[in-house]
Amino acid sequence: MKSQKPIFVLLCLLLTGCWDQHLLKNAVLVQILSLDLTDNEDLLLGVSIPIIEEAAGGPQALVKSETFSAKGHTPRDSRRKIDREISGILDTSKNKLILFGEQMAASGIYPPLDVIWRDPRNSLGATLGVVEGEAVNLLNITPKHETNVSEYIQDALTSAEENSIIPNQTIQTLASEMLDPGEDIVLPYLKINNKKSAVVVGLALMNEKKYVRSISPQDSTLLLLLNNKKGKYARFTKQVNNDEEQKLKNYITFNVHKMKRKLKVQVKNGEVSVNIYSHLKINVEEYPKGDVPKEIDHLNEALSKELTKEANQVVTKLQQSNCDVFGIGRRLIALHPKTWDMLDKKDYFKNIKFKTNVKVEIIKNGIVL
Amino acid sequence: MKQNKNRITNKQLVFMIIQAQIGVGILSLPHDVALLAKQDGWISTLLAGIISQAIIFAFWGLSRRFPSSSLYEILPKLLGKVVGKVLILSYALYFMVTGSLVLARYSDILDKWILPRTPNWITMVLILITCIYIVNAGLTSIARFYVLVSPILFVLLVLIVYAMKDANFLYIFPVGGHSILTILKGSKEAAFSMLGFELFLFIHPYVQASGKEKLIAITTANIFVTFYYTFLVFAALVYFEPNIDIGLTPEPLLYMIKAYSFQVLERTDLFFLSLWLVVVATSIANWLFLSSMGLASLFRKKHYAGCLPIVAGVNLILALLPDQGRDFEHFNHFLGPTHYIFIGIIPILLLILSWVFSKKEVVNNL
Repeated sequence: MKSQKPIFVLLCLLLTGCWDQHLLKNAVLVQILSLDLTDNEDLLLGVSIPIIEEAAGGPQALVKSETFSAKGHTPRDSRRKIDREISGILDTSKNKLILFGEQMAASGIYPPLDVIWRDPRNSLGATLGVVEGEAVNLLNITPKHETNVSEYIQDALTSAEENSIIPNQTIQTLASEMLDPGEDIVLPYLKINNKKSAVVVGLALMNEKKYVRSISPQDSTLLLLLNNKKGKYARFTKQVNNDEEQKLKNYITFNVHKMKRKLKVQVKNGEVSVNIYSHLKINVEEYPKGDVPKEIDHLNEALSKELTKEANQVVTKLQQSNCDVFGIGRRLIALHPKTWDMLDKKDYFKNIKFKTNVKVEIIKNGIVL
Repeated sequence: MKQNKNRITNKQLVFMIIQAQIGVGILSLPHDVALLAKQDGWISTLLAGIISQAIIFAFWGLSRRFPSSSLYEILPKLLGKVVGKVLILSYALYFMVTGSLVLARYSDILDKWILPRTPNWITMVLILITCIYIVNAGLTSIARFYVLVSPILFVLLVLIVYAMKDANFLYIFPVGGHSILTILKGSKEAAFSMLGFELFLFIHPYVQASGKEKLIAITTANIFVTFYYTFLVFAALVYFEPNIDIGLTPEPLLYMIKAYSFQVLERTDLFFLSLWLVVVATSIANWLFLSSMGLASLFRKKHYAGCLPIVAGVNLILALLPDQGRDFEHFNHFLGPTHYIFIGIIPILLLILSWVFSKKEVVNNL
């Protein structure tokens, strides 16, 4: 080996990588973005950034949050304007959630997301949501028990996800579904409650990247069950009797313990029919009337009938919105490509004949009968 | 030919071929193939493996007739001194240009994904220094290094398998929905990513094994690479919607794992990239090795080490030329036919010539 000194000098100069450093002390980490359409078709971008305050007595710092917003032509344009307003550099690489105002969502959510995919530093693990009214208002709420808005909204979404009200999805998994002509997506639908709290009030049905309507949490859970996307819990409260004097005795609350779903697509003479069959094994959590085993046959039957009826209603709502969450179109492309070629690519979902069946079976009833 | 320190074993040959074949193309392969063959891209990749295997048989046939000479020595033997020298020079230049393209694509991806503000020449110089260092140490060391870094391929595989939990297997259907011709067009793209097995023609005299064992070794390598690639293409095809989405993502494999974060690891793509760097380094080293060997035999030098800085310098300059995606296309367009000529046509012609003139080595008791 000859002298190694020059190599060492060269390494010291070249390996430091000063060009691409992003110092955390200069960065302002954004955790939630909101996108709205203003009246004159401009874009309103809102960001919620955490502010860490030294706590007076305790060792724990208090995290508050502040919301900034700016209008612009594109999300990046608005972001540049916000950047001038705050000290530090906005950094969206840790972003967890992007919220769309109703109007924005209705005009199409794909184009404003372009920058999220284009910039390698952006986080693809974030998820999307639609807010009733304007999304930026949701960032301005002041919940009492949690000072950090972004933390608060995320917790609300996580809990909704556990309770099978919204599916577990990220921008990355949504991208393919959005671009697929044979599949549509659903997004969490949030609402502001008297300026203090946010509630997940079900799912926003999208038709080809555009928001159409929302459905209630109960319908959302049922939809997720029909789509085989059950979260940790899936709870329902249903009426099974109607002759009890004390009203609450008419109801039963249960959690879906296990489920099996079968989805069959059949094509006959160019007509597509779909058979969805769900078998739910449930765990009774509350039955004020008491004695589940005695009435088990009645309960199974009543619940099966009720859920089948509701499932059919959910499917009708989907068809009215032309929102193919089940990916029936994709199944047709994959398994019946000739039929798909003949179908109307836009409105095929409306013309599908659905047959939905839910069978409920009680398998557990807690520690009393 | 009797330098004992430059021998490699048959097993090392397997890894050398694998490392030479798997290179910079790995990230963009699913995109390139899917652009043409859509959901049947994985069939294209399999076919490309079969095509490579056919060429490998030709290579092996040639190596059987000249068991102790590399292609650079075969050329003058078969075609005479002048033509032979011209071809040696062309080969050396071809490897230089190919190496430069790899280098340029490597630094382009680094530039896009991790280091947008670092000047490209720095990333290039760094990897070239590393590669010169590897190649300079001689064939045995190169082989050992390639074996050493091979486990990385499995780490990459594991990351991709993890991402497949969000896959939609319906995207792969209908299988064979495209015509054979379209699928073959896809194979063409895939075949470019499989290049690198030509290394065999140049190192076979140094392998301590019988002809048959060498064939088994190189076939094993090719089968491994074919299945590795096919799996990666398949994984990307079931992850991305194969008509639009995969067309929008030039590096689908990186994109696939970008979304996942683990307990202590976020931006998994960065982790993936730093492992991929090693894989690229081995293939750049490979082309550096081949072209400097060519130059050395052209100028009748005993050792190729002296040519390394020259080749690396040329690589660097050539790689700095393209500075946008369009240039890569032109570059590729230009290289496309030359791949056929240098990897396919010339070796096969040589094989035929050696049959016609029944030329072969007489002494081969090494």
